Amino acid sequence: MRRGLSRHNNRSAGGVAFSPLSLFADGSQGVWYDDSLTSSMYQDSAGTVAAVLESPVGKQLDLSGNNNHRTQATSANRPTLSARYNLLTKTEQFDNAAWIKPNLTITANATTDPLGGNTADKLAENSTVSLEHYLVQIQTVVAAQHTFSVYLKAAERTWASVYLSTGSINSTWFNLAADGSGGVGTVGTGCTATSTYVGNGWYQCSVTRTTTAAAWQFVINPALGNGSSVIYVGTVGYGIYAWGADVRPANQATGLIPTYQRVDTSSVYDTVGFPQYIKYNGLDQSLSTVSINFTATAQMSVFSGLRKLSDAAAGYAIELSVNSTSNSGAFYLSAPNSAAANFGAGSGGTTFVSGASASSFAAPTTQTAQILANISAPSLNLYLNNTSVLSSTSTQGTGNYGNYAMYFGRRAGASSPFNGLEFQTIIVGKTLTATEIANTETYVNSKTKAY
Amino acid sequence: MSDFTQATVIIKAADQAAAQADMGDTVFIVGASADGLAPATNYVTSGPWSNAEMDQMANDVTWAKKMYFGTDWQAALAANNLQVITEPLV
Repeated sequence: MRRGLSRHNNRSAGGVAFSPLSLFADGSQGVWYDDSLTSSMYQDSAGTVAAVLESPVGKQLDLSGNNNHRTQATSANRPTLSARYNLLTKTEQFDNAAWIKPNLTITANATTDPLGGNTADKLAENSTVSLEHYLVQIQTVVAAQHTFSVYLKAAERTWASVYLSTGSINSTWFNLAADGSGGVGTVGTGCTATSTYVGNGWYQCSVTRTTTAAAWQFVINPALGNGSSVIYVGTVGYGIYAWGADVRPANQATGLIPTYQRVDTSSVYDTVGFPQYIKYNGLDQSLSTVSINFTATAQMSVFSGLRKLSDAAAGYAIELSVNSTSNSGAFYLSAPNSAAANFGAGSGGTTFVSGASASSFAAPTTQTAQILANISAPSLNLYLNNTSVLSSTSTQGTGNYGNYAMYFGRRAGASSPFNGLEFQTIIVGKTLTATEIANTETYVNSKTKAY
Repeated sequence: MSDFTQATVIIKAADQAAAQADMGDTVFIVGASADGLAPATNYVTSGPWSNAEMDQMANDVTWAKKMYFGTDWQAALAANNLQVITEPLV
């Protein structure tokens, strides 16, 4: 089935439209799974219920033209389709119960927001007692660097405090000068901060801090001035304007994807600009194909956009056959390859060769992984974000690749689960030209936004 | 209307055969124990169970289970002082 092809055209380096479908035009065996194309996925393995955001994926169509669709018959073992990045909810509705607001009165839709709408709220002090006037949402996060950002604008107060905390106040102060001359004031302990003026008095104020795996508080305060305690005697009605709060792992807040995602509920959020993915839970979720006949080729080219979420235990992102180590003519891509901050790959005919990258790819990390393997002229090369991290010319024995099912997310759908996200996977049973490799890498990264 | 509920279900190892007889042998295959080492004292499955499966587990099965709604299987295991039994790539 070849569908939705117009969405898949990218411009190659030479300016010519590139589609991964061209890799299969000569009849090459392989697969192409585009996790950005919702219409290629179904909630059930029979392919009768269309997938939607935050639904299970029970079937995904292969877009290569080879009909190597992948499925999961067991409901509880199905991965989830998502495009969620911002961990907060009600990100433009600070009057909602998702936010706790001690000693503040929230006036909804009080002024023009940074996009020119009217959804910015006012956070106003409502007590004349010496208290902290704060707006907070609590979310459970993993141990990683996280960035908390919010758009702020001066009202009666021209300074604000923003912090991430498990209990104690750790403010970073922001100057909200209406003329755009404001910026970051004193930065909280263990934090970094940025302030970006976006016009009409609005600043996107960001604080980054390493979190533990726990429930964290994401807090916004009006403030009296730089470094001034956020516990103070308030003036009823005095405050600041706020809009668009966002929390995400810091390495997803670098600007490769939009730095703010509007989230209403856990399943209703902005998707434009946010790469869609299939999430494997690292416990028991996987997809698999029926047998794919690669017996006519000794060459394999694998491209997959992945985000690895854990280094706690080895996990198979992709494997041909139920055990590539013991079955001749198979390969794998692992993330990680052991309980370490690495990725790995293996390939072989009658002899299996495998290895791992250096342990410098700590989770969470987003990478385009590329395996170029050849059994007959033995080579195994693994690239991450288009940089070589593993290269071997050890013999892989003899023979071609086999006629096996391919597994995604777990070995044989039963063990060594991958904990992470998949954005795109293209596998072709042949050696590609340098131009094809470059175009495919560019295409996969356009769907992954890894670099 | 969606036909699934995200949940983590933990059973005792002694109930694995009975649970798989009811729910299928592709669930409850991930072992867990207090120290993360074999032998498994419990088995766990986490994911989007169908409504029929949730009805069955809630009303019809005889084996003991703990059910935690949502996708956070790590928290569910931690609440029971359990760790997944992992294995190296071979």
